[in-house]
Amino acid sequence: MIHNTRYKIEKTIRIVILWIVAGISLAPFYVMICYAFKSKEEFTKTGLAFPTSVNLQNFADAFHLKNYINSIVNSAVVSVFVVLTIVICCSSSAYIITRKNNRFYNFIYYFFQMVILIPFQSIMFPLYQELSRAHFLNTLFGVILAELGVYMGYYVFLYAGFVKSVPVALEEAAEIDGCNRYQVYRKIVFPLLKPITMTVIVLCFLASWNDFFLPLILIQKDSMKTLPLMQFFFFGEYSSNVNLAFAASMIALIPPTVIYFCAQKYIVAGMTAGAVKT
Amino acid sequence: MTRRRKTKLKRELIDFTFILPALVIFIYIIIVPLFAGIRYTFTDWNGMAREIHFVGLKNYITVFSDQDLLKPIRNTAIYTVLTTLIINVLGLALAMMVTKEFRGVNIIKSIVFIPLVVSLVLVSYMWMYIYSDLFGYLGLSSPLTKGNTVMLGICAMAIWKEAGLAMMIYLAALKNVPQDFYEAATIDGAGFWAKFRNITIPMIAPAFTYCIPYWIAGGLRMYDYSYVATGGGPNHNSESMAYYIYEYLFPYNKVGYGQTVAMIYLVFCLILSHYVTKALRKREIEM
Repeated sequence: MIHNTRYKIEKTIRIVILWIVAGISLAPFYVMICYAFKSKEEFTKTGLAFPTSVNLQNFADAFHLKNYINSIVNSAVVSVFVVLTIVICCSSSAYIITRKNNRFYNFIYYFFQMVILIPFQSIMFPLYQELSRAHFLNTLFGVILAELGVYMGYYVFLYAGFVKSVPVALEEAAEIDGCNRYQVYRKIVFPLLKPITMTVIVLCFLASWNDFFLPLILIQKDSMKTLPLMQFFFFGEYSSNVNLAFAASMIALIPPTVIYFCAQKYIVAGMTAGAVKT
Repeated sequence: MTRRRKTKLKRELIDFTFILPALVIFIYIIIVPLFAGIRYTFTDWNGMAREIHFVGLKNYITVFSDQDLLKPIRNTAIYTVLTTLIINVLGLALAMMVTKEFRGVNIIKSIVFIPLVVSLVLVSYMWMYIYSDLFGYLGLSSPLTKGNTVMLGICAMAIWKEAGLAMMIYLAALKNVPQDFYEAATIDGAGFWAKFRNITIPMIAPAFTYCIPYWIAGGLRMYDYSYVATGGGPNHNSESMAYYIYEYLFPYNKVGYGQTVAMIYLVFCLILSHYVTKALRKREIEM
């Protein structure tokens, strides 16, 4: 009996702590919502009190901000291309590295892994020069290429952990049936990688959609800017009317939030079999 | 014989095409700039001038007597140690609290993870206004305005954003631990801490070898918060190494010196990464 009450108390305390943590996680969003849904005048009067009326004027105005829609399109193009290329290139690289497991491929893998820990700042200026000579500055292609190079090592690493858990027997059977490597990969291996692919899609999309540093150095032209650059610009430019800047930023949160909720159930599965398996 | 060798070569080439696109992009974006950067360190180039003056090892000598570097080193160390430590401890604690099923557990998991979808730029602004508005109600001043609290203010933002990711990874690791281990230990009379130390920690070791290097690396290249939330201020007290290097390379136009700091920093990170990668690979052999 005593044991039972103790267990109940422990459980209650645990749940209370968790809800407090959840509250802290949501508090900053509340501040953003207060700003976004109130006009500037209303905010000076009521501050952080709960918004009493739904005022969508800030959101409507946000779409009229110069280059705002451009920046959404730019971010979408960059993120989609980066995610697709990362999924294809990194899964196939990780597959061949794991299956060959010889000195040559392990040597390449070693370099991929090291880059995860290298500070990007040490290659940033020469990279800027290189892309400038190739006339890739101020183009989305330049940003895509740079993001691919910088992200690649990490996702090859994530995929490699998962490929190890995929049994080879299936592939051998398919090879006996006359499939070549491409067919084996496309028809057998890639479908089995679905959980880790979903994890990679979420993490890579978030990284690319929110990347600030690479676009900051590679893009100066306003019409080519991506969303985080625009957010930075809006908060600076409209510092007297941050309500507008918060509304514009809130809209930018929709795509990553949707992708996260769609793929949520796969994330733990991908991580379980991939990165953290004993 | 030659025919067999030919088919073997063909197969090797086909295998190589699997890695070729990744390798080409990787060499173009990472490896070439890595080596191209070395020669700038022997010059006083400003990044634009047509002629480049070689100055020998002057930049390297300057680095080791540069008093301005002390603050970025200190700030980066504070940020890396605090965020790595707190995010991992908090992530593991939260993961252990949500492994047992109860009503609302899935909602809590989703809520704790959700800050990860916010860009670092927006995180910075959200927290700037929390610090000014919410702290204002409580009669506190924003930690970002004082030299001795600014790094704590920045660490809080990072912890808020990333604790959820750590929770997810540790949660995935905890799901791999067989429940009968705990049951057997309970029968033997082991308490919570004994079970934690002898079962949980060793069983989720791979998650540590994954998470700890990940957050160390993130801390060493932290840049966005310094740039957006504080601009390195007040009085350089929130300048990170990455931000210091950026300032020399772009706004100050002192490429020679900036690149020298960057290369020395790179060597430091490589030495660190060597040991970290070794730990990662050691674990893979066991797999």
